[in-house]
Amino acid sequence: MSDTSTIRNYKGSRRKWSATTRRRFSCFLFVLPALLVILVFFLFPMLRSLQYSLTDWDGIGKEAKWVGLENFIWVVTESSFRQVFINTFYLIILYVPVLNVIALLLAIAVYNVGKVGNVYKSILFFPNVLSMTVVAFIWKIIYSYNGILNQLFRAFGLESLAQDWLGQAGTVLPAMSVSIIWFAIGYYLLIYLAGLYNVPVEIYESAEVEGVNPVQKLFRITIPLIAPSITINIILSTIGIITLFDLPFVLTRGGPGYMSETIALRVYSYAFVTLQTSYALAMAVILGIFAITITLIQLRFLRRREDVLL
Amino acid sequence: MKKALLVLSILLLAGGLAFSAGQQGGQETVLLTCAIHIPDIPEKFGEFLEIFASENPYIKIDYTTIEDVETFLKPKAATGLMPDFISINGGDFGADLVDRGILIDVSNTAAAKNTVDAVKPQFTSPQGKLFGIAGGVSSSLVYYQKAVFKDLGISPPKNWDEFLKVNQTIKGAGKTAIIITPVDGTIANTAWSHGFANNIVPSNTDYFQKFDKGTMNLDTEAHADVFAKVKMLADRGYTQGGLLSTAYMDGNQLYVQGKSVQHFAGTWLAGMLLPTEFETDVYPAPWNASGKTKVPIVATETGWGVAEGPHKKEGIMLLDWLNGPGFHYYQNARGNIPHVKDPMGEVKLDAKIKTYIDDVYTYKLTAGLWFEFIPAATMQLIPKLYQEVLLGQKTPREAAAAFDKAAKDAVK
Amino acid sequence: MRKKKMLGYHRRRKLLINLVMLLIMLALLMPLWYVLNNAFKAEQEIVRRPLVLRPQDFTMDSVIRAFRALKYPARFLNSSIILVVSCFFLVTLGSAAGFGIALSNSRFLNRIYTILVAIITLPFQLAMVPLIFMLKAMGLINSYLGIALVYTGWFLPFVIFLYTGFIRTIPKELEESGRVDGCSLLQSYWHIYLPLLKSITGTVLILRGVPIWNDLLVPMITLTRSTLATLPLKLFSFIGQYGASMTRWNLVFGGTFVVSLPILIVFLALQRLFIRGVVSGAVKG
Repeated sequence: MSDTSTIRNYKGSRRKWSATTRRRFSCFLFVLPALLVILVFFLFPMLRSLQYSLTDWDGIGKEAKWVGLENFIWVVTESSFRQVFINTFYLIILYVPVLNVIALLLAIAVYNVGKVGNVYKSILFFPNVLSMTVVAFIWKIIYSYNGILNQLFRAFGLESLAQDWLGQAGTVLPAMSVSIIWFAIGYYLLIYLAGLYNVPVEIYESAEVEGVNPVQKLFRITIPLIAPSITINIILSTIGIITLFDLPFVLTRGGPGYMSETIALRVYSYAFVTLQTSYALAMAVILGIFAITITLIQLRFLRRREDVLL
Repeated sequence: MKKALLVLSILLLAGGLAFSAGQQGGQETVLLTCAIHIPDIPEKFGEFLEIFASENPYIKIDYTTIEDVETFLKPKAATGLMPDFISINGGDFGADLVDRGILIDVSNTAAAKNTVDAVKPQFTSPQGKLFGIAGGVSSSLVYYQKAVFKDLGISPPKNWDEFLKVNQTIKGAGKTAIIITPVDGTIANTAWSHGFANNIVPSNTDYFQKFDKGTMNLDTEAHADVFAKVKMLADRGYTQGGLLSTAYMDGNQLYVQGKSVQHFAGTWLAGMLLPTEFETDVYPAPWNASGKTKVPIVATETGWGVAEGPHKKEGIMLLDWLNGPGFHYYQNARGNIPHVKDPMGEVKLDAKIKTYIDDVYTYKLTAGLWFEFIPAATMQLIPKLYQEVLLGQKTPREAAAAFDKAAKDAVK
Repeated sequence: MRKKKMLGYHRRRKLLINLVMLLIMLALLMPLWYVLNNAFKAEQEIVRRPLVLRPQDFTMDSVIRAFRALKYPARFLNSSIILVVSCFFLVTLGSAAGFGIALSNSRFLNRIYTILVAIITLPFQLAMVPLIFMLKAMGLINSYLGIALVYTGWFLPFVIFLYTGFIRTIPKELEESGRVDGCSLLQSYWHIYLPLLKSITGTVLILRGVPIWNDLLVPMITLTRSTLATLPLKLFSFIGQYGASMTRWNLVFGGTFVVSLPILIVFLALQRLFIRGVVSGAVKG
């Protein structure tokens, strides 16, 4: 639709703005305010973080001496970091697969039950509208040594199962994972449901006719066809759990010891508890790199499977 | 013409309203921001502040309760956003703030003049400035159920060995012997401070200065024992179930519900822990080895300070009130040991606590509480180290070494 | 819903699935019931009978006390103002940006778009610390505007992603015919596209509005004056006193209930919209 040809601009010549260029410029103006806000309030601080993570800035004064990778080395060789890193990884493993499998199965169930599925959808989504502080708090009470969970176990004679869920190294992360799954399941369920609705009904109907059993249906038909939803959910849930702060913070504060401290909590701890700002920034950068790396790996893996399966 | 009149009258009305709104007692309203750490009576304290405000109508109170003094104030100090009136602990953090001019020197206030000298050193900075008034005299001790002791034929132990025997007897009767709270600073107020007092202070009476200079050597067996003692109690089954998730208030609640025979807690909790349904009494914590004299804890409670700023005059007014005419509200609610010379009102101090503290005052050597002398940056380490020791992730000696390193690093 | 052949096999299977789902629903709702039923009891009852709410125990006392202790109306106002301002920014800036990117055919803007999508994966913690200092320098600490800008900067990439995806599904002819009629881009945006964006705006409001309302981290690090505290922040300081403040369970449960109430009401009333919102957001993905 452009009505003039583009004119090469070389040094010293005036450039005539074609309608296309003018239009592109106007479009750019639409984007500009948003870009400015993102730049100023997100990207710029991020770059500062990167910059200051290479200095010894204490967050208070103006002096910031260049120290290169010293902060990173300190933070990574600090004795509890290994545990923190393992915790973050472990939590991902405890959370992402379990969440997605349950969400998918529930989505299929809701898909198959008809109208009453609407009620199920709403109930399952319910926890997600609560504040994470509230969720953490509810579960903190439930998990406490004399809390409702243990009381139930004791009432049913299962004394041995009643334990200090949040105070034991072995149970704290799984317990935390359960509470996060409780919170998030509705959200991911809905995404899978949307994916399921996008599958043409005829495919299932012809599968019926050919006598495909449910298991085959699941693995040979459903999963390949909703592959994009699976990809999205896995990536979203991974990023979500890596950066999660509110819930672990209120639930355990990283305890007992450091057994439930994640990298995200570490950043907060360095920034606002021990006030070692340069370490906080180094940890934040590590968090960022960790998140990006895992996302890229997942994207690679999942996208390839998507292509293969389709 | 009519329009002009209308506009004029509206302007006059608005101006009059604005003028009168700003007028309160002939002064501009001052919003006094108060950040207070008072976990046992947060709401009541707010009420006390309101009483102060009602006596000074031009002052309005903005009251926030805070969980941990240093954690809350550090970022505020860093970004220059200090509240006007704050809770502050004796020790190195406050000293630093007053020497940097962030807190004011309150030595010449009526509050300071009404405070006993014994609680001033912890609140005095290296430059000789008084940065806060203590909130009371504090100590930590063991609260116990009198009836259970009588039934089991035991009496308050006087040293560590007797303590273990007493606990064993209680355990044999199928009860929880003692509550230990490793999740937060409570364990530092109790087990760590007493361990430090008995194991380390006798041979390091200048420990305050040693910490300041970073010459305090803590990578020692004596210090490791401070951690080992708690582990021993846990390993022998004397402590409550759910040990590692028991925090300050959880522990108090457990005792009040009668779920444990003894509770190791601060004197500031007397108001909550003494009036139980069963009779409760107290005895000094037996962290000394048999044959050795106890080193009891005499320390200050979290006190108050005033920040440098436009409202410091009102801050001082509040400080003087809390440590003068308004003191009895605060003291009666908590039942803690007064730090003021003239309480200007009735003092509610339980006879048991009075007996305890009078006895403690007879000791020649006493020690302070942890937060009064360890470097601010190492404070959150103590509970974490106990947790790691209890989890079996660190040996007591490793914990001691880790703390030693952190304390020395913090001074660099 | 799709039609199914009513074979006995199908009916039985449906029944089975329904049974299992019922159990799952019960398990899911238990924690909620636990809080709910205790919000209406007096303190002693909470300890004695934590799971049963007898009619004779019912009292609004805990809820009312919590309401007062939380200084609810003020906090509600704070949370609301922050929500409204943030959403205003997100919707206006985001829709405009989406419009610009979707309609421009510019390689440059497309590259920017890709970068924006990548930014979505970056954690907030990376910007957190310098952001506070920057806000302080700009005098935006303790201000509604400051918090709103933080949320805007953080969530705009995602919002732009949603808007761009949606606008791209609108036939280009719409804009072109508008141009033929002499509409400038601005007029196109304002008169033609904006009305069409109602449904996606609804999605945006739900997907980002709920997290903003419920967020703890940003208010915690940007607010110093308690008068400006949001509901979740106040609840947290309430219960955050050294672990679960069990000495006043009634306040704690009452508080939890009363803080969750607004969102619960909105959710129940608009649940269709909520669900549709999440679903359409997912499809855009």
